[in-house]
Amino acid sequence: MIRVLIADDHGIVRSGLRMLIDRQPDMEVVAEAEDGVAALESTQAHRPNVAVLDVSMPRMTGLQAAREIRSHAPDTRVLMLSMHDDERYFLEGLEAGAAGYVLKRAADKDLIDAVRTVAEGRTFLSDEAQRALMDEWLEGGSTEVDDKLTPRELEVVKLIAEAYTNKQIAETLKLSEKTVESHRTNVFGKLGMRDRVEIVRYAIRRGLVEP
Amino acid sequence: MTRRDDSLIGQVVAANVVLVAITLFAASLAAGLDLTVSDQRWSFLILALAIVLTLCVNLWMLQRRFAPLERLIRRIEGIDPAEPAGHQLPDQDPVEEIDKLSRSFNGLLERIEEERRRSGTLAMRAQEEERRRLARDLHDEVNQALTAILLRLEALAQASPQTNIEELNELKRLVNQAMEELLNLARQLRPSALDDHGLMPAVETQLKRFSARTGVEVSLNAGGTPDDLPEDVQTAVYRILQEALANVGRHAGATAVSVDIEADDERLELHIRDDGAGFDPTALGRRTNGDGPGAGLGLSGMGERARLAGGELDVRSAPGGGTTVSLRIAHVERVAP
Repeated sequence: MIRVLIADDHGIVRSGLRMLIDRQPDMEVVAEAEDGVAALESTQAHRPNVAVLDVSMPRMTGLQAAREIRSHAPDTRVLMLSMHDDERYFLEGLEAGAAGYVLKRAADKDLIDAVRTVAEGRTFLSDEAQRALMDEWLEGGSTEVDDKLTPRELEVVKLIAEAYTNKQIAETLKLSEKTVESHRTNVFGKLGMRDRVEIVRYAIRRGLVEP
Repeated sequence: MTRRDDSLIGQVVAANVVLVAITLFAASLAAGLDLTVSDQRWSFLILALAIVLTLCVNLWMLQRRFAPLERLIRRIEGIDPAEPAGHQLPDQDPVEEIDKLSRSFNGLLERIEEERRRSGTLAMRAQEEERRRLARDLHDEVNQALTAILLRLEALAQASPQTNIEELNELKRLVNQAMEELLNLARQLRPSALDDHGLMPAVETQLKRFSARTGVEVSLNAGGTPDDLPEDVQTAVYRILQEALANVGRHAGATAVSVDIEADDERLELHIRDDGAGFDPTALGRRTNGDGPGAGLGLSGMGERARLAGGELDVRSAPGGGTTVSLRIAHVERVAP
């Protein structure tokens, strides 16, 4: 049984989600939340397999909630649900550590698949998101690699793009947090990037993470 | 200037005529002059000549003294009300009063322009705010309801007998279409990316969508820190680009568009070049309101946005030679909210 939490600030959307999810024989909705803070609290209380989060919610956005869930309840897989189909919104979702991104207007055909896919530990992206990220990847494909990142820095980039915190990166790579911090500073400096979204985009282009 | 009976110079001359006439009449009375006595007629003739001479000299002097005033009037009349700031009166004039008048008039022009920009900026902001609210309502209210309908239809479809499936799928398709149209509408009103991510990501998305829709190749060169510009300026850049791209899509028949944005805290340059059909800018000036080649290009709106943002819009084009729209802001001002 896949245990699902649903978070959306619109009651009508929540009831629609619950209706559809509860109808699946292998799924059940264990909690509902109407904002990011409630979503985080419910996730910690109920430990669902999948948290379906609306991107824009009051008090704490879905993105921020995804980050918090990633670090406080790492067993729960996050599925972002959003109205936005701009590439940058997908990247933000991935950067926040979401395992999937479903557009609301494709929710009828994608949602159930997406919940199953992320519950199995794989990644799910709506067609539009895949296409946008593929474009990004193809565009960058021709520009050859001459950014002078060391292999260690590339490892750090990959983990940053996968929304690992400095501490988690340090544990994974068996480095001190200080070293990770200096790698991170170097990477941002060498690539001339300002935020993690750009790092995610770069990592996709370099094939370090899968779109 | 038209010479009317009630012009200042006419009034002064008339007053002088009356004064001189009264003086002479009194003088002739006092001297006991008598017109009937023949040898006193010479004295009268001299007096009459003196009157005429005095008046001529008077008129000549007055005209000389009033000339700078008329010069000032001509200059004021030459000012284009659409661009008061571009037509300052010269500060230096030999006559002190004229000098003062020029200066206070310049001061007035400056205050009017300042007020115009302030109220124009406020109006623009109010418009953007209204569009943002509308876009958000479409997004947040209408589309959420449609999402709920879509989810429920899917739930219903999963529990329905095969005979109903086709109709349910058609319903879902219609809901889907409505959602997509609403999203497009919201995006045209004001893309949420502009508020969520800033100018450059919004511009990138706009260019991608434009290219996908029209098949025109786009390239973007950005330098500096356009995302740090004040919100009003970011909006102006976005809207001018939007309008320019719409023109390219509608009129130019272009195959490629290149967009250059270069900005820092102080200044901004935006160039949008296409390789399309172009047009004759002089024909445009003559009939911006008619249905000539330039009608509907929204150039005056773009120009107004540029001016309110403290910059200038420059459109260069020639038939067959493509079009370049440039926005230059030499000094980015931050108008208090």
